[in-house]
Amino acid sequence: MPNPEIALIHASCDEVSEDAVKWAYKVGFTWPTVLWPDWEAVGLGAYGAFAGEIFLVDSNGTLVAENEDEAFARIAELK
Amino acid sequence: MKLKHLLHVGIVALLGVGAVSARTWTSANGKNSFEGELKSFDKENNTVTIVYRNGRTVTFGTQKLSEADRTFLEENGKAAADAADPVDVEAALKEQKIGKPLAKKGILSRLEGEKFANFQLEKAPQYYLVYFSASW
Repeated sequence: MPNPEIALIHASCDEVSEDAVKWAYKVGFTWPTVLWPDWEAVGLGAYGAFAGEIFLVDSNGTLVAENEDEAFARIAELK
Repeated sequence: MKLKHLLHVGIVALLGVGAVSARTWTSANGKNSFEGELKSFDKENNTVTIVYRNGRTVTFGTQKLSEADRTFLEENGKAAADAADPVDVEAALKEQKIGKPLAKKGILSRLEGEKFANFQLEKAPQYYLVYFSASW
């Protein structure tokens, strides 16, 4: 069953939204997306800014994990 | 590998932003199948709404699905039907440092067909897993 306590947010680094949507369609990425520069405006740029980066943050903005391995290890603990 | 990991783990096990789960659905005659996430189940009218992997949302009668799928709906559909009250979700998100700006209209979008469409979180999650991507 899915874990309702975690939301996956996709932050696109593409400067042109058409590029972002083409990529998402190509790879079947249907998760909620924040386009650039909106993700900077909403504060996500404080945690990452480069394609391929993954981090886990709690709802209060505290960084919980700053890479893929740490993030999924933490998520496994939450299940 | 990160993207594959995300797609796999995300679809199979991760999160609730409206959908209860992704699974392979089979037609009543067993000849066709497709992947999709259960978005809602209306037991009274025997209809189900499923989000295809390409983001397209469809609603149809449960009689079109296999017996196994109908059993799944009986056992898991209540969670979809019991989706959180949008007003409560909005209030909860406004209390969050991360959720509040993401709840602003026009910030979040989601792939629907070949376009991005506005999207609102349907729950106020405790954690956010953020993945940065680029087409290049």
